[in-house]
Amino acid sequence: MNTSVVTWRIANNAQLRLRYWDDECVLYHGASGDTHRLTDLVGQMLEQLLQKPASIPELAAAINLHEEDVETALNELARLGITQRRA
Amino acid sequence: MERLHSGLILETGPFRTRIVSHTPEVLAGLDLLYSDFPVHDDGFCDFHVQVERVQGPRRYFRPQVTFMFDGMAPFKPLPANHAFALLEWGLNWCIAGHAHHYLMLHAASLEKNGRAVILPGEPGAGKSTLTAALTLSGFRLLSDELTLVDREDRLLVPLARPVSLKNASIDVIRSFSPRAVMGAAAHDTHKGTVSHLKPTSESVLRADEKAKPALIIFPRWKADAEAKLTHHSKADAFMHTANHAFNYNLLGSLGYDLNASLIDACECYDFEYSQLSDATLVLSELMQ
Repeated sequence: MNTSVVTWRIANNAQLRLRYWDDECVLYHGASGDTHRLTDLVGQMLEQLLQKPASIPELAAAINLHEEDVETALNELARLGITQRRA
Repeated sequence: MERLHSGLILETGPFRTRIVSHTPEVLAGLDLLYSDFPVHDDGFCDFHVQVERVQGPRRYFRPQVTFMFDGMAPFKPLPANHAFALLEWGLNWCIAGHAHHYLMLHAASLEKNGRAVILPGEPGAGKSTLTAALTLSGFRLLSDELTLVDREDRLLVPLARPVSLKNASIDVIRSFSPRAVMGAAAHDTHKGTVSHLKPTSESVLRADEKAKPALIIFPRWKADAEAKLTHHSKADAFMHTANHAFNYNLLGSLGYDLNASLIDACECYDFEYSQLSDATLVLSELMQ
C-alpha cells in the first residue's frame, strides 16, 4: 500500500482528552472510557489528527518520527478505536 | 450502650452513619477509638448500618456477627470477635460504593503545614504502617484508606477514621510511640490479625478543613534500606491512582480531569525506607 496517499483521522465521536507530563502523555478516550499512557510524540500525532486528517509521511514530518513508527502507532490506535483510515 | 441499641449517628468527615449494634465488641471499639467524633441522636444519615450477632443454635458454640446495610447483609458473617473490624470494613464499603460525588482514591492521605501527601502504595508496601507513624508524628490524618477528591475545588476532603493495622505492624506502631491508642486485636481475619489505631484528636476536630494536594508518594518498606526519595513518573502516578481508584471509570471524563488536576498539583516520588523514625523525618522535611 502506498502510505503517502492514505490519510488517517480520529475516529468519529472519540472524545479525546490529552495531558502531558515530562515526555509522556495520558490520553482519555471518551468513546470507550479507557485511559492510555503514551509517549508525548504519539500524543502530538493525535493532536495533529485532531486538527485535520493527515497521511503517514505528513505526520512523520510534523512530529519528527520514522514513517514505520507512525504507521505502527496508527494501527495500534486504530485497534483501540481511536484512529481510522479516512474513507 | 442504650444509645447504640436504638441507633447512634456517627459523623465521620462528610458522612453521617446511623449505627445499631448490641455487640460488646462494637461498643468497646466505638468508645475507645471514636471518642472524639461528633455523635448525634437524630437527623439525616447517609448510611444505616447494623452489626449484630447471628441468631440460631450456632451462637452457643461459635458465635458470629453480620453487617447489615439498609437491612441487607452484603457480606458473609464473621466470628463474633471480628465485630469491630467488620464495622470498619462495612463503613469503607458504604463509602466506596456510594460516595460518587467524590473521586475516591485507594490511598492514605495526611496533611502538614497546609500541604497534603497522598500515599497510594501496593498492598504490603507498608502504607498503613507509615500512615500510622506519620499520624503519631504531627501529621493530620485525612484518611487511611479512602482519599476523597472534591469535584468542585479539587481539594482533599478529610475522612479521618481509625487506621487499620495488620499483623507485625501492630507491635511496630505500639513500639513507635507510647501515645498510640490501639483497639482490641481481631485474630484470624482474612487479613490476619487486625487492630485499629485511634486517630489524633486534631485529625478529628479539623474534619471540615480540606487540604491542598502537594505530594504523591509511593512508599516501599525494605529491610535495612536508608530512607530515600526518588522521582516517580507523573504519567505512571496518574495511571496508578486511576487504576486503584474506586470510581475513576464510573466518573468518566470527570474522573480523568480530577485525577489530572491532582497530578498537576503534586510532586511524585518513590520512597524506600526501613526505619519509621527516619521515614517520618524525611517526609516532615518534605512538607516544609
